[in-house]
Amino acid sequence: MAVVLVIEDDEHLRRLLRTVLERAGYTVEEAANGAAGLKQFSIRPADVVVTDIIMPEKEGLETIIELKRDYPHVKIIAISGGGAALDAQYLPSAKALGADRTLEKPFEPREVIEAVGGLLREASAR
Amino acid sequence: MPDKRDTEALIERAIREGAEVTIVTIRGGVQARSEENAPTAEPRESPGVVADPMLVIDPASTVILETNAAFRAWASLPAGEALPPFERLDPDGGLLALARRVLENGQPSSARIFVQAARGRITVEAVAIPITGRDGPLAQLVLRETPFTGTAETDLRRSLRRLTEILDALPTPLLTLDRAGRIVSANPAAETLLARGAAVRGLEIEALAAPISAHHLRELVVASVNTKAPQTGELVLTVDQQSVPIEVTLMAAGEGEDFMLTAVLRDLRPERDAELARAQLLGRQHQTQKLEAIGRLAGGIAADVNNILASILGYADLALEDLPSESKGRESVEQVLKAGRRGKALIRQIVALGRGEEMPARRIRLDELLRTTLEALKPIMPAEVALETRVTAPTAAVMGDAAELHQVLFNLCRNSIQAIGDRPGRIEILLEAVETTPAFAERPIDPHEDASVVAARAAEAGSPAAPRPARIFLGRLEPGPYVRITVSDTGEGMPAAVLGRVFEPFFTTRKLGEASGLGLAVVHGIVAAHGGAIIASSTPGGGTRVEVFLPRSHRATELLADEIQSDRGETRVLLAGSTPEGLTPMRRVLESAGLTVEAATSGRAALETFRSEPEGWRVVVLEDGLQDVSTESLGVEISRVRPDLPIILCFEPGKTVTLDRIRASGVTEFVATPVDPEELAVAVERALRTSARRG
Repeated sequence: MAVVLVIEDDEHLRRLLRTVLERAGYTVEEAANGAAGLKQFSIRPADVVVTDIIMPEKEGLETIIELKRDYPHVKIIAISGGGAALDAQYLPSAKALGADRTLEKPFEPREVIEAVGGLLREASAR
Repeated sequence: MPDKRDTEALIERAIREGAEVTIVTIRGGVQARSEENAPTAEPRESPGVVADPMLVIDPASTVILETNAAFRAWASLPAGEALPPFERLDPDGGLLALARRVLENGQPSSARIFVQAARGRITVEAVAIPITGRDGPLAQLVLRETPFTGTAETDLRRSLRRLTEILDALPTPLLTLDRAGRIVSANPAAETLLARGAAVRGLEIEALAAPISAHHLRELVVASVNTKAPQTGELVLTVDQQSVPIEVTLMAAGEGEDFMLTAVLRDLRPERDAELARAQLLGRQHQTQKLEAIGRLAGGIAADVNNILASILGYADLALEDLPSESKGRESVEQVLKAGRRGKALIRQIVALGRGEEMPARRIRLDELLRTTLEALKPIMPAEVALETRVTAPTAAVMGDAAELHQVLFNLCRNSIQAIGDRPGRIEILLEAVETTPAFAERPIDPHEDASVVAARAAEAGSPAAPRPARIFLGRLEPGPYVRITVSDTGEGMPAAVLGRVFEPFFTTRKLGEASGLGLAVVHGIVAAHGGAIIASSTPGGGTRVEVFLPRSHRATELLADEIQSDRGETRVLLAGSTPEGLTPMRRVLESAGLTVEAATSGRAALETFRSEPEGWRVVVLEDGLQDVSTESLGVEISRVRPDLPIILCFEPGKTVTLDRIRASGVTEFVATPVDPEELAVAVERALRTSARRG
């Protein structure tokens, strides 16, 4: 069973993502910020990490860099805040830094499931 | 009879006082007849050598008591014939008045007087001397004809001519009117203003006024005639079938035959135009401020709202999964989902509105823009709407954000589709390269045609807006090369009052829920952010046309050249890349903007060149992927020595680049490879501009 780590500072969204992913059959770990996320990952590595990039200290990008550096095989989905001005700066950066997919808020659950599913298929195909 | 001494004294005095004195010797005396029926008594003939006609009269009775031969000859009277009554000689009474005056004053005097001679009315210089007759004071009059020629007349004529020339040359329009308000004369400035030429003469001045002002003008004329005080009023005159605002000042002068009304006209249009232009400018500043305020608000809440919407959409989706297919609740939940999606689109548009940050610009070709937009339009294009497109300059390009420009064209087309509605219609899209002239750039549309102005004035006057198609202009135009995107449709159009507001955020004439009222506001925001302008015109029932002007892209090099103008000495660039061929186009565009370029094809060479003169560089351009040294360490080293030096990195998007660490190494700008020279110029210009500010 694949493990998905959700890093998101808004607790409602965190809970939503957990519900959605669990329904789809994934095991979900969660963290409220980048540092906690990295810690959680070291305890229990995930196959896919879903992380918000616009978090209070812009840790999102840092988190992606570190994850990719330390765990090159992990799949990362970066979610933007939807303040499009920031999106434009950070989404391409996120991709350049190692995010495999990006999603813009507000996304629909279907999009997340498809993204996770797609990444896992790619991973297993290798 | 005065004695000789008296006469001499009189004559001396007369000469002193400037009277022309003719010495007349009268032999014999004046004998005042004491007869009762004296008036018709034969006047004594005075012999004497006198050239000028002379007569003596009793001013009280107006009887001519004595004359001389010269007078008889002058009056064409044969000797012996009775003299005509004095009144016939002096029909105006000027001589009599002169005679009486000298008797009153006791001093001689002279005057130029009209008298009736045999051959007609002539002017004479009359000298009158008071003398004492036996029965009372008498006046001796000597008449000298002065033909009305000579220097006095020439002087007068010359003065008149000069005066006329001055009046003619005056730029102030002047009319003279008679007491009835009829135009007697008009100077050339007035003829030009009133556009009737000489035909203006003879007209009643009210004939010039527009119906709305005719009464007021009549009142002014009457008031100035009656009160003799200057009267001023603002009126509307009809000139060439147009209504023209004019200030009229009437001044009355003179009496009787000499009475004259002068009308001074002042064209108020230049003043009004200036007011309009000012109002336009203020209105536009206001709009810009509104947009900015909305944008700031939007940016602040967008992230939070998006989180909320994600919850709404997410849980609604989950609920749909859980509800059985026949459940009544499904429909409601589907509505929640729909509402959530609408909210998503709305927030996206609002944020697009507020985008003030500079976007990384790419060079976008017109044909590419059209292609992507047509693709997006396909699903929403109704069958009865014909779409015509024309690109006259396919390779012309704009520096900008592709998604935003696509949004501009898409929103305009979508609006046209909505305006056409269910009926058959046509939409034309035209993409061209144009050159705006200084005259056009300064005044793209007449303030009188500006919809926001027309609407404001109509609102003031409480009357419907003018039927002419109203236009609205938003933004700034400079003279120079532009790309013009025109979208025109045969839809329902809109009146000036609506056109004046249609670019406002949230303004819509559609029913609640059908449209967000943001489509055109977004267009405005994007065009403004790209440094462009919009001209929109519309006629109710006659369709709408929107022209979007965007600066054409090869301005980037010019802008860069402008930016380094103020640098003293050379502006030196260090350019480092892996291959000379790769560097050539970059070098070329930078040199064409006037920068001095030093190129290096390895990291080590770059560092050496840099260290040879660390203070001499204004900007560094690095191509990622140098073989010998990592870009990051190069950046770190340069920044260590020159923390203020802007570094531009050209990298391939998609390759793993540790952006944050790169930023920490001093890279401030990013340009995607393969490098478009225009984009590089834009990035260098921005780097120079922002570093100049900081420094």
